[in-house]
Amino acid sequence: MIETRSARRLTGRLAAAGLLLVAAGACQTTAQVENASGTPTAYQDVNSPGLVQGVGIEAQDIVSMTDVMMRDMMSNPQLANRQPSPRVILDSQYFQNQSAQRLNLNTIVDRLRSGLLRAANGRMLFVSREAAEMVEKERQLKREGVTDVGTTGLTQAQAGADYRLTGRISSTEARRSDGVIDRYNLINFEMIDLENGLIVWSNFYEFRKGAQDDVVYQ
Amino acid sequence: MWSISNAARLAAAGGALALLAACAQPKIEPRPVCDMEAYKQSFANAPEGEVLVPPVPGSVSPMPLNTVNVTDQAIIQKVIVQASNAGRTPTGTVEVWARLVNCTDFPLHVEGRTNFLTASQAPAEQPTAWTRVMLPARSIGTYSAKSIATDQVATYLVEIREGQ
Repeated sequence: MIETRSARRLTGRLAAAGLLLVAAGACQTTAQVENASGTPTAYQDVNSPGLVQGVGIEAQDIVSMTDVMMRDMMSNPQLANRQPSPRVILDSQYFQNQSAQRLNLNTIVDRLRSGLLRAANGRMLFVSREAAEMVEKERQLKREGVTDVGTTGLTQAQAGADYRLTGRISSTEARRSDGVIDRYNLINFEMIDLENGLIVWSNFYEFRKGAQDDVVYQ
Repeated sequence: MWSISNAARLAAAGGALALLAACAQPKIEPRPVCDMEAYKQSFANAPEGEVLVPPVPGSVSPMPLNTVNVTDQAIIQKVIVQASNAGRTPTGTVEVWARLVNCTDFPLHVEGRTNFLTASQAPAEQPTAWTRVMLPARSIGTYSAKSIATDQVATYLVEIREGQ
Protein backbone atom coordinates (compact mmCIF):
# COMPACT_ATOMS: atom_id res chain seq x y z
CA MET A 1 0.00 0.00 0.00
CA ILE A 2 2.82 2.37 0.93
CA GLU A 3 4.65 1.35 -2.17
CA THR A 4 1.59 2.14 -4.30
CA ARG A 5 1.24 5.63 -2.81
CA SER A 6 4.91 6.42 -3.34
CA ALA A 7 4.65 5.10 -6.87
CA ARG A 8 1.66 7.41 -7.55
CA ARG A 9 3.60 10.35 -6.12
CA LEU A 10 6.56 9.52 -8.32
CA THR A 11 4.34 9.23 -11.41
CA GLY A 12 2.75 12.59 -10.63
CA ARG A 13 6.14 14.26 -10.25
CA LEU A 14 7.40 12.75 -13.47
CA ALA A 15 4.30 13.95 -15.34
CA ALA A 16 4.78 17.45 -14.00
CA ALA A 17 8.42 17.44 -14.97
CA GLY A 18 7.47 16.22 -18.44
CA LEU A 19 4.95 19.04 -18.86
CA LEU A 20 7.56 21.58 -17.82
CA LEU A 21 10.00 20.21 -20.36
CA VAL A 22 7.36 20.36 -23.11
CA ALA A 23 6.53 23.95 -22.17
CA ALA A 24 10.20 24.85 -22.21
CA GLY A 25 10.57 23.21 -25.59
CA ALA A 26 7.65 25.22 -26.96
CA CYS A 27 9.23 28.46 -25.78
CA GLN A 28 12.59 27.62 -27.28
CA THR A 29 13.31 29.84 -30.31
CA THR A 30 16.32 28.00 -31.77
CA ALA A 31 15.33 25.94 -34.85
CA GLN A 32 16.02 22.28 -34.45
CA VAL A 33 17.60 20.16 -37.18
CA GLU A 34 15.22 17.52 -38.38
CA ASN A 35 17.83 14.88 -38.64
CA ALA A 36 15.97 12.53 -40.95
CA SER A 37 16.43 11.46 -44.55
CA GLY A 38 14.38 13.23 -47.22
CA THR A 39 12.62 11.76 -50.19
CA PRO A 40 15.35 10.00 -52.13
CA THR A 41 15.93 10.99 -55.72
CA ALA A 42 14.78 8.18 -57.90
CA TYR A 43 16.25 7.56 -61.32
CA GLN A 44 13.55 6.78 -63.82
CA ASP A 45 13.58 4.93 -67.09
CA VAL A 46 13.73 7.42 -69.96
CA ASN A 47 11.75 4.96 -72.09
CA SER A 48 8.71 4.89 -69.82
CA PRO A 49 6.40 7.50 -68.29
CA GLY A 50 7.76 9.02 -65.09
CA LEU A 51 6.24 10.17 -61.82
CA VAL A 52 4.73 13.29 -63.37
CA GLN A 53 2.58 12.79 -66.42
CA GLY A 54 0.68 15.33 -68.43
CA VAL A 55 -0.68 15.70 -71.91
CA GLY A 56 2.47 17.12 -73.49
CA ILE A 57 5.68 15.79 -75.00
CA GLU A 58 7.65 13.94 -72.33
CA ALA A 59 10.95 12.07 -72.05
CA GLN A 60 9.59 8.78 -73.36
CA ASP A 61 8.09 10.58 -76.37
CA ILE A 62 11.38 12.30 -77.19
CA VAL A 63 13.31 9.02 -76.89
CA SER A 64 10.76 7.15 -78.95
CA MET A 65 10.37 9.75 -81.71
CA THR A 66 14.11 10.34 -82.17
CA ASP A 67 14.74 6.59 -82.21
CA VAL A 68 12.09 6.02 -84.88
CA MET A 69 13.32 8.97 -87.00
CA MET A 70 16.95 7.91 -86.75
CA ARG A 71 16.17 4.34 -87.83
CA ASP A 72 13.94 5.56 -90.64
CA MET A 73 16.62 7.90 -91.99
CA MET A 74 19.17 5.07 -91.90
CA SER A 75 16.83 2.99 -94.06
CA ASN A 76 16.42 5.73 -96.68
CA PRO A 77 18.75 5.07 -99.66
CA GLN A 78 19.01 8.75 -100.56
CA LEU A 79 20.35 9.58 -97.11
CA ALA A 80 22.21 6.49 -95.99
CA ASN A 81 23.35 4.70 -99.10
CA ARG A 82 24.86 7.40 -101.26
CA GLN A 83 28.42 7.74 -102.52
CA PRO A 84 29.89 10.11 -101.57
CA SER A 85 28.13 10.30 -98.22
CA PRO A 86 25.70 13.22 -98.03
CA ARG A 87 26.46 16.17 -95.77
CA VAL A 88 23.66 17.10 -93.43
CA ILE A 89 22.94 20.03 -91.14
CA LEU A 90 20.88 18.91 -88.20
CA ASP A 91 20.13 21.60 -85.63
CA SER A 92 17.11 23.41 -84.24
CA GLN A 93 17.47 26.54 -86.42
CA TYR A 94 14.56 25.58 -88.66
CA PHE A 95 12.76 23.32 -86.23
CA GLN A 96 9.80 25.22 -84.84
CA ASN A 97 7.60 24.71 -81.85
CA GLN A 98 4.08 25.90 -82.66
CA SER A 99 2.42 23.76 -80.04
CA ALA A 100 0.75 24.79 -76.80
CA GLN A 101 3.64 23.39 -74.80
CA ARG A 102 6.85 25.05 -73.76
CA LEU A 103 9.69 22.82 -74.93
CA ASN A 104 13.43 23.01 -75.45
CA LEU A 105 13.75 21.91 -79.07
CA ASN A 106 17.39 21.02 -78.60
CA THR A 107 16.40 17.97 -76.54
CA ILE A 108 14.85 16.51 -79.68
CA VAL A 109 17.38 17.71 -82.24
CA ASP A 110 20.48 16.96 -80.15
CA ARG A 111 19.37 13.41 -79.43
CA LEU A 112 18.54 12.87 -83.07
CA ARG A 113 21.89 14.23 -84.29
CA SER A 114 23.99 12.32 -81.76
CA GLY A 115 22.12 9.11 -82.42
CA LEU A 116 22.39 9.52 -86.16
CA LEU A 117 26.04 10.45 -86.03
CA ARG A 118 26.86 7.29 -84.10
CA ALA A 119 24.57 5.13 -86.20
CA ALA A 120 25.65 6.47 -89.57
CA ASN A 121 29.32 5.75 -88.95
CA GLY A 122 30.34 7.71 -92.03
CA ARG A 123 27.29 6.90 -94.15
CA MET A 124 26.11 10.46 -93.46
CA LEU A 125 28.36 13.39 -92.55
CA PHE A 126 27.18 16.17 -90.28
CA VAL A 127 28.03 19.82 -90.74
CA SER A 128 27.77 22.11 -87.73
CA ARG A 129 26.42 25.56 -88.54
CA GLU A 130 26.19 26.35 -84.84
CA ALA A 131 29.97 26.13 -84.69
CA ALA A 132 30.56 28.12 -87.90
CA GLU A 133 31.72 31.28 -86.09
CA MET A 134 34.05 29.34 -83.83
CA VAL A 135 35.51 27.51 -86.80
CA GLU A 136 35.97 30.76 -88.73
CA LYS A 137 37.97 32.34 -85.89
CA GLU A 138 40.25 29.33 -85.73
CA ARG A 139 40.72 29.36 -89.51
CA GLN A 140 41.82 33.00 -89.32
CA LEU A 141 44.34 32.27 -86.59
CA LYS A 142 45.83 29.52 -88.73
CA ARG A 143 46.01 31.68 -91.82
CA GLU A 144 47.50 34.64 -89.96
CA GLY A 145 50.22 32.38 -88.65
CA VAL A 146 49.22 32.89 -85.03
CA THR A 147 48.83 29.12 -84.82
CA ASP A 148 50.16 26.36 -87.02
CA VAL A 149 47.84 24.49 -89.38
CA GLY A 150 47.19 21.54 -87.09
CA THR A 151 47.42 18.02 -88.43
CA THR A 152 44.44 17.73 -90.77
CA GLY A 153 45.54 20.47 -93.18
CA LEU A 154 43.75 23.47 -94.62
CA THR A 155 40.60 23.55 -96.70
CA GLN A 156 39.47 26.26 -99.08
CA ALA A 157 36.30 26.85 -97.11
CA GLN A 158 34.09 25.39 -94.43
CA ALA A 159 32.08 22.34 -95.52
CA GLY A 160 28.96 22.96 -97.55
CA ALA A 161 25.88 20.87 -96.87
CA ASP A 162 23.51 18.88 -99.09
CA TYR A 163 20.55 18.56 -96.74
CA ARG A 164 19.13 20.31 -93.70
CA LEU A 165 16.57 19.20 -91.17
CA THR A 166 13.42 21.24 -90.79
CA GLY A 167 10.40 20.40 -88.71
CA ARG A 168 7.45 21.61 -86.78
CA ILE A 169 5.66 20.69 -83.60
CA SER A 170 1.98 21.53 -83.63
CA SER A 171 -0.91 20.70 -81.35
CA THR A 172 -4.64 21.05 -81.00
CA GLU A 173 -6.37 21.01 -77.67
CA ALA A 174 -9.85 20.48 -76.31
CA ARG A 175 -10.58 21.54 -72.74
CA ARG A 176 -13.63 20.79 -70.64
CA SER A 177 -14.89 23.09 -67.90
CA ASP A 178 -13.93 20.56 -65.23
CA GLY A 179 -10.27 20.73 -66.24
CA VAL A 180 -10.03 17.66 -68.46
CA ILE A 181 -7.69 18.30 -71.36
CA ASP A 182 -7.37 16.35 -74.58
CA ARG A 183 -4.32 17.26 -76.64
CA TYR A 184 -3.16 15.98 -80.02
CA ASN A 185 0.53 16.51 -80.77
CA LEU A 186 2.11 16.23 -84.18
CA ILE A 187 5.86 16.39 -84.65
CA ASN A 188 6.84 16.54 -88.29
CA PHE A 189 10.38 16.08 -89.59
CA GLU A 190 11.63 16.90 -93.10
CA MET A 191 14.99 16.77 -94.80
CA ILE A 192 15.39 19.49 -97.42
CA ASP A 193 17.80 19.46 -100.35
CA LEU A 194 19.76 22.70 -99.92
CA GLU A 195 20.27 23.18 -103.65
CA ASN A 196 16.84 22.59 -105.17
CA GLY A 197 14.55 22.66 -102.15
CA LEU A 198 13.18 19.16 -102.64
CA ILE A 199 12.02 17.26 -99.57
CA VAL A 200 14.08 14.08 -99.73
CA TRP A 201 12.75 12.47 -96.56
CA SER A 202 9.88 13.08 -94.19
CA ASN A 203 8.29 11.33 -91.25
CA PHE A 204 6.08 12.27 -88.34
CA TYR A 205 5.34 11.22 -84.80
CA GLU A 206 1.91 11.78 -83.35
CA PHE A 207 0.07 11.05 -80.16
CA ARG A 208 -3.03 12.09 -78.28
CA LYS A 209 -3.30 12.29 -74.52
CA GLY A 210 -6.08 13.11 -72.14
CA ALA A 211 -5.77 14.02 -68.49
CA GLN A 212 -7.74 15.55 -65.66
CA ASP A 213 -5.16 18.19 -64.88
CA ASP A 214 -2.39 19.60 -66.95
CA VAL A 215 1.16 19.76 -65.63
CA VAL A 216 3.57 22.62 -66.13
CA TYR A 217 6.33 21.87 -68.64
CA GLN A 218 9.51 23.89 -68.37
CA MET B 1 -55.40 -19.30 -56.25
CA TRP B 2 -51.75 -20.14 -56.89
CA SER B 3 -50.46 -23.51 -55.89
CA ILE B 4 -46.88 -24.71 -55.63
CA SER B 5 -47.41 -27.21 -58.47
CA ASN B 6 -48.62 -24.38 -60.77
CA ALA B 7 -45.57 -22.30 -60.04
CA ALA B 8 -43.31 -25.29 -60.71
CA ARG B 9 -45.05 -25.93 -64.03
CA LEU B 10 -44.65 -22.31 -65.04
CA ALA B 11 -40.98 -22.32 -64.10
CA ALA B 12 -40.39 -25.50 -66.09
CA ALA B 13 -42.18 -24.03 -69.09
CA GLY B 14 -40.10 -20.84 -68.80
CA GLY B 15 -36.92 -22.88 -68.61
CA ALA B 16 -37.88 -24.88 -71.69
CA LEU B 17 -38.64 -21.67 -73.59
CA ALA B 18 -35.29 -20.21 -72.62
CA LEU B 19 -33.56 -23.36 -73.81
CA LEU B 20 -35.43 -23.24 -77.11
CA ALA B 21 -34.52 -19.60 -77.58
CA ALA B 22 -30.89 -20.41 -76.88
CA CYS B 23 -30.98 -23.17 -79.50
CA ALA B 24 -32.73 -21.00 -82.06
CA GLN B 25 -30.30 -18.05 -81.78
CA PRO B 26 -26.74 -19.24 -81.34
CA LYS B 27 -24.46 -16.50 -80.06
CA ILE B 28 -22.31 -15.10 -82.81
CA GLU B 29 -19.07 -13.57 -81.70
CA PRO B 30 -17.53 -10.86 -83.85
CA ARG B 31 -14.27 -11.85 -85.47
CA PRO B 32 -11.47 -12.33 -84.67
CA VAL B 33 -12.34 -15.11 -82.24
CA CYS B 34 -9.21 -16.14 -80.38
CA ASP B 35 -8.49 -19.58 -78.99
CA MET B 36 -5.86 -19.08 -76.34
CA GLU B 37 -5.50 -22.82 -75.74
CA ALA B 38 -4.66 -23.48 -79.39
CA TYR B 39 -2.31 -20.47 -79.31
CA LYS B 40 -0.55 -21.91 -76.28
CA GLN B 41 -0.28 -25.30 -78.00
CA SER B 42 1.30 -23.68 -81.03
CA PHE B 43 4.32 -22.75 -78.91
CA ALA B 44 4.84 -26.37 -77.90
CA ASN B 45 4.46 -27.54 -81.50
CA ALA B 46 6.63 -24.80 -83.01
CA PRO B 47 9.56 -26.06 -85.05
CA GLU B 48 12.85 -25.72 -83.22
CA GLY B 49 14.94 -22.81 -84.36
CA GLU B 50 17.65 -20.61 -82.97
CA VAL B 51 17.27 -19.86 -79.29
CA LEU B 52 19.00 -17.62 -76.80
CA VAL B 53 20.72 -20.03 -74.45
CA PRO B 54 21.66 -18.99 -70.91
CA PRO B 55 25.26 -19.50 -69.79
CA VAL B 56 24.04 -21.57 -66.84
CA PRO B 57 22.02 -24.45 -68.34
CA GLY B 58 18.44 -24.48 -67.13
CA SER B 59 18.63 -21.10 -65.36
CA VAL B 60 16.42 -19.39 -67.96
CA SER B 61 14.17 -21.16 -70.42
CA PRO B 62 15.61 -20.91 -73.94
CA MET B 63 14.18 -17.89 -75.75
CA PRO B 64 13.38 -18.57 -79.40
CA LEU B 65 14.94 -16.01 -81.71
CA ASN B 66 13.25 -14.36 -84.69
CA THR B 67 10.02 -14.40 -82.70
CA VAL B 68 7.69 -11.98 -80.96
CA ASN B 69 7.23 -12.46 -77.23
CA VAL B 70 4.41 -10.99 -75.21
CA THR B 71 6.38 -10.42 -72.03
CA ASP B 72 3.66 -8.78 -69.96
CA GLN B 73 1.35 -10.90 -67.81
CA ALA B 74 -1.30 -8.18 -68.07
CA ILE B 75 -1.91 -8.77 -71.79
CA ILE B 76 -0.69 -12.30 -72.38
CA GLN B 77 -4.28 -13.64 -72.44
CA LYS B 78 -5.56 -10.69 -74.44
CA VAL B 79 -3.22 -10.28 -77.38
CA ILE B 80 -2.16 -12.84 -79.98
CA VAL B 81 0.77 -12.46 -82.35
CA GLN B 82 -0.84 -13.46 -85.63
CA ALA B 83 2.23 -13.16 -87.86
CA SER B 84 5.71 -11.71 -87.90
CA ASN B 85 8.57 -11.46 -90.33
CA ALA B 86 11.65 -9.45 -91.19
CA GLY B 87 13.40 -8.26 -94.29
CA ARG B 88 16.24 -6.07 -95.50
CA THR B 89 15.62 -2.45 -96.49
CA PRO B 90 17.36 -0.92 -99.56
CA THR B 91 20.17 0.31 -97.31
CA GLY B 92 20.79 -3.10 -95.76
CA THR B 93 19.17 -2.44 -92.40
CA VAL B 94 16.61 -4.93 -91.11
CA GLU B 95 12.89 -4.17 -90.77
CA VAL B 96 10.84 -6.36 -88.45
CA TRP B 97 7.07 -6.37 -88.28
CA ALA B 98 4.53 -8.19 -86.16
CA ARG B 99 0.77 -8.31 -86.64
CA LEU B 100 -1.03 -8.27 -83.29
CA VAL B 101 -4.64 -9.21 -82.62
CA ASN B 102 -6.64 -7.67 -79.81
CA CYS B 103 -8.90 -10.55 -78.74
CA THR B 104 -10.89 -8.47 -76.26
CA ASP B 105 -13.95 -6.27 -76.60
CA PHE B 106 -11.97 -3.33 -75.28
CA PRO B 107 -9.35 -1.07 -76.82
CA LEU B 108 -5.83 -2.00 -75.83
CA HIS B 109 -2.65 -0.03 -75.83
CA VAL B 110 0.54 -2.04 -76.23
CA GLU B 111 4.20 -1.20 -76.77
CA GLY B 112 6.91 -3.13 -78.56
CA ARG B 113 10.66 -3.02 -78.85
CA THR B 114 13.19 -5.06 -80.77
CA ASN B 115 16.58 -6.45 -79.89
CA PHE B 116 18.70 -6.92 -82.99
CA LEU B 117 21.40 -9.53 -82.47
CA THR B 118 24.48 -10.70 -84.31
CA ALA B 119 25.08 -14.28 -85.44
CA SER B 120 26.88 -14.90 -82.15
CA GLN B 121 23.81 -13.60 -80.26
CA ALA B 122 25.60 -10.45 -79.13
CA PRO B 123 23.62 -7.21 -79.37
CA ALA B 124 24.16 -5.65 -82.79
CA GLU B 125 22.97 -2.30 -81.37
CA GLN B 126 20.92 -0.82 -78.56
CA PRO B 127 17.34 -2.15 -78.35
CA THR B 128 14.85 0.12 -80.08
CA ALA B 129 12.78 2.50 -77.97
CA TRP B 130 9.33 1.26 -76.95
CA THR B 131 6.90 2.01 -79.76
CA ARG B 132 3.21 2.37 -79.08
CA VAL B 133 0.56 0.43 -81.00
CA MET B 134 -3.11 1.18 -80.42
CA LEU B 135 -5.38 -1.81 -80.84
CA PRO B 136 -9.10 -1.03 -80.96
CA ALA B 137 -11.45 -3.77 -79.73
CA ARG B 138 -11.30 -6.99 -81.80
CA SER B 139 -8.89 -5.51 -84.28
CA ILE B 140 -5.41 -6.04 -85.63
CA GLY B 141 -2.48 -3.66 -85.47
CA THR B 142 1.06 -3.81 -86.76
CA TYR B 143 4.21 -3.15 -84.83
CA SER B 144 7.34 -2.50 -86.85
CA ALA B 145 10.93 -1.49 -86.16
CA LYS B 146 14.07 -0.92 -88.17
CA SER B 147 17.63 -1.65 -87.23
CA ILE B 148 20.53 0.76 -87.53
CA ALA B 149 23.15 -1.89 -88.15
CA THR B 150 23.23 -3.63 -91.52
CA ASP B 151 25.20 -6.82 -92.13
CA GLN B 152 25.84 -7.43 -88.44
CA VAL B 153 22.15 -8.12 -87.76
CA ALA B 154 21.44 -11.85 -87.99
CA THR B 155 18.51 -12.41 -85.64
CA TYR B 156 15.98 -10.44 -83.66
CA LEU B 157 13.76 -10.72 -80.63
CA VAL B 158 10.64 -8.58 -80.24
CA GLU B 159 9.13 -7.86 -76.83
CA ILE B 160 5.53 -6.70 -76.37
CA ARG B 161 4.21 -5.17 -73.15
CA GLU B 162 1.10 -3.30 -72.09
CA GLY B 163 1.29 0.42 -72.86
CA GLN B 164 2.47 2.64 -70.04
